Amino acid sequence: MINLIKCHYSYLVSKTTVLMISIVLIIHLFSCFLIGYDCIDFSWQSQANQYYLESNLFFIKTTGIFIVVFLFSYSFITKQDNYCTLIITSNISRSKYFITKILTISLFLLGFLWIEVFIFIVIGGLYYPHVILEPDFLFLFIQLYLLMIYYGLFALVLIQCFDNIYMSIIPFAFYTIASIFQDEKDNFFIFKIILPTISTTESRGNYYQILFLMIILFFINGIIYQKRDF
Amino acid sequence: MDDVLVRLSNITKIYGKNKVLNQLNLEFRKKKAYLLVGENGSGKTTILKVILGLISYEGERTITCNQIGYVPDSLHFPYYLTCYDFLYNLGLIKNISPEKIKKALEILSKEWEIYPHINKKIHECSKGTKQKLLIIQAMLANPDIYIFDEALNGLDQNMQLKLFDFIQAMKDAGKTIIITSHYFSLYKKIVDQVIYLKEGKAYDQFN
Repeated sequence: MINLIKCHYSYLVSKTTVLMISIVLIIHLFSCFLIGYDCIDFSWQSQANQYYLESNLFFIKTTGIFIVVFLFSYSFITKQDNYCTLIITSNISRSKYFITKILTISLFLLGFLWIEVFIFIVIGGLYYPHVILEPDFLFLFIQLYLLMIYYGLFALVLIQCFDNIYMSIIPFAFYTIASIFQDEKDNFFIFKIILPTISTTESRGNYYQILFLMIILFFINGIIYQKRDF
Repeated sequence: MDDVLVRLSNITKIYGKNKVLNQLNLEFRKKKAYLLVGENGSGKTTILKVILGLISYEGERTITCNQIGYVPDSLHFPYYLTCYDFLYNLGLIKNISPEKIKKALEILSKEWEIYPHINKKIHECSKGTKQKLLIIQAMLANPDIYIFDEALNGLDQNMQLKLFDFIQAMKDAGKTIIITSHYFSLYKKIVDQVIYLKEGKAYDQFN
């Protein structure tokens, strides 16, 4: 299993993915400085903290979903995934191949998110040496991680069905629409169930909803992959 | 009949509205080399994919061997990996012990003349070297069946001759070889049977 993960990882770390992730991280680094600079104007530290967290969360959410949708789509289009022919013909089952590949991408994303959080904490700490990070902050990032995987799996369903990288625009667009309507209380109920999002005000609110949707999508993808032609 | 390693019975494969294989029946036996020829889109690669279990199909496929060595016509290679790491990791995935892989790689890389490039990143290598990597990875597990999909791609004349020698040696060692190619004349000395594919059916070349 470790060897399979190593193999997937070697394919995942391509020139394109390294470039994409580096650009996102550099932009995040600069935006953290800018957000932190804006916080100096606040009279109360709690206000500044809240502003810093919300602005960063918005940025990490958006770029995180973008990266995850890209990674899942890019890794599973037939041209990039054709090394499966060597693996599957080496007496490795399709399900083992699929599960290890999803696991590899998920671990890679965890690393990416960890760097994002690290930048968030370090730059925040530079501006406010005595900043207090509440426990809810960590739950928020765990929730964000699950949300990223969910949208990645959503993109994967489309990629497996249509085998076209441009399909990855759809889940990203859906996520953007879901973010716009996240404050609507009564309307768009069904819409909010299938397209979850997170905010600083309801940090533990839809934790189980995202997890549940993620598991459903994982199984749907697994079934499609079993029947897929290479 | 015991020497049949692969049996395809009534295999039908449809892509969209195109029936690529139509109630196809084929048998591949031990110690034989087969050449699948046909026009573009005649179903050569599709037959290989049916044997390898890479596509869905109607009909029955029976395989009585443990390992298949597959050389695809093209492959997306990892960008940052060296040739050695690529082959070594594939060997581990094929469940071969590290010592055996190291030994095999030392011999095969010299035999197939990739030794000077073995520690190079794959993206720095030529098309021919990449093709040799695909051939070497297929040999690692000492499979019972070798499947070559347009294996001559990118190989120079010396390496083509080397491949023909290898095919002959494997045949003598009791292995089954299945090759797809457009170039019947190049293989005619080493193959035992030429299967001509047309309109989803298989014909013996000489009939």
